[in-house]
Amino acid sequence: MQAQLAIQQSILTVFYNTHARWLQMWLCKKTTCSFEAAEIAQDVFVRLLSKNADTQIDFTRIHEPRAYLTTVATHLLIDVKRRQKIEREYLALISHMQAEYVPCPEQIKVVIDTLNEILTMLEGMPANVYRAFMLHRLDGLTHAEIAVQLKVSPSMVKQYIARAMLHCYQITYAP
Amino acid sequence: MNAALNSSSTTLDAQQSKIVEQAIEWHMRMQENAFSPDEQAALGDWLNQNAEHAQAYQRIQTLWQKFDDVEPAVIKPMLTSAPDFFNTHKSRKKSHKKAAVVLSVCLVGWMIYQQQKPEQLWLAHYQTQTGEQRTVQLPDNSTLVLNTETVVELDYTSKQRHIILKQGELFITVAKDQNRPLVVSTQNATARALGTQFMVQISPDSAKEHVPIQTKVAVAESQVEVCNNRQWYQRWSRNCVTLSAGEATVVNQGNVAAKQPADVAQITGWVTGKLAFDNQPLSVVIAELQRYSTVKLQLSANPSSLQELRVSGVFPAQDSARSLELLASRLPIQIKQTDEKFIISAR
Repeated sequence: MQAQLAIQQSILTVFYNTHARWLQMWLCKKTTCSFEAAEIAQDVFVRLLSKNADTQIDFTRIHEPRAYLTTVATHLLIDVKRRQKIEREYLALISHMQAEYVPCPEQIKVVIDTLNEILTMLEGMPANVYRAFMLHRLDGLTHAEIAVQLKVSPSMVKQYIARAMLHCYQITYAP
Repeated sequence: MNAALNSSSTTLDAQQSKIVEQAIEWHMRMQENAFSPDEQAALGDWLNQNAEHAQAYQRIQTLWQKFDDVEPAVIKPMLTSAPDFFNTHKSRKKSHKKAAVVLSVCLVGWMIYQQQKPEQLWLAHYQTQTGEQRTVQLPDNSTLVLNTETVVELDYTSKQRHIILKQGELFITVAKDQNRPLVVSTQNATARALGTQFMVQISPDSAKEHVPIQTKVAVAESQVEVCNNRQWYQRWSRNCVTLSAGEATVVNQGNVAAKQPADVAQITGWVTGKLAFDNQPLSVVIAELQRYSTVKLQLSANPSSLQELRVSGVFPAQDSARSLELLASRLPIQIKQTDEKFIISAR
């Protein structure tokens, strides 16, 4: 087990030495090549390291390291972009508020974190499942009302909502 | 490489999925209607059967409640401005032949979407301080009058003219635009203009959370459709009333009251700076004057008959000292002015 771990880590070291700079360049093209690129490149390896510890991902089976690294980097990039977008939009939203209702920085962070969690878990939901779930959860429509809007049966709506919750569960607790 | 990727994720196995699905089922039943003691007991049994059951159920509750931590009004714009949610993760298994067809369909679809997508034209925020009234000429030539302590947000797109009354009271003269309905919405109601002059008022102070608010709509000209505005956590169904000139209604919680004839000139007197009262108790009149005054108006509690003195007449909204003087000239009351307040007592 110990030897196995050592092998895994030495593979990761090789990955890092061989591909880290290349990955940063690749990220440069995707971002505006700010410090972001360097940071995300770093995060990719940190994530691999923790994945290795948590779930024993087998690096010896990765035959195309660059393809693998860019996959992980793309996910991280999406996370970063999503969060930035939320931050931007939320700050724009509260900039319209009267000074006395503007939340304090701590509250702002909590809201942005929550929004980020919500948007993350909604990602990748099939369109109808997503619509049904949002109409139900945010607009409070009943299954019957949603059925009319989506032109499906109420029992289908029920299935959609159950699927939506399973989706959220998977993303949050079994990514 | 795929194998490596898959082994890195901790997807639920069949057994775990089944438990989560059962937890979801319980949760949804609970949402639909309150549990009888029997059902409650059955849920308790299921939860106690296995620690995994309890954990899954707990997690489902947590996920569900996450949406309560942020107001829907905050979540929604983030969602609608992110239509990519609908497009990501579409099946990638389509053959190339199909892909070409799909691509052209997508292109056409996208072009139609681009054409139909409402274009954001005007976003603005207006507000007034205590005692302030303000007239705003809107970009569509409608005229909006804000009464004291009012907060209004404007959201004009190429498809709709949306005015959000956050607090206070407004009066609007709507410019005709066949293609873009004008809707005034409050937390609990919407009023859709069918070409017209009307007033919308929220009370009490809607800025305070969790206080049920009341929205009052009165129509001066033409017609307005008033509906309750359902929130996600409310069970009532949508209902609407169409008001004609000289009629008013009140939306309380989810309930739209039947329309009633109203003295609209009187109700909307504030638009011209005049507050009109017809046989109203003094307590109501003082409360109304207070809305326009930064100085506290304090009506003595003794004798209680003081509160019930009847008042009729027109008073200047902008000048509470003058209004009080007028009141004192007609009623057996006296006004004492201290540094920070007016005290109204029996003479």
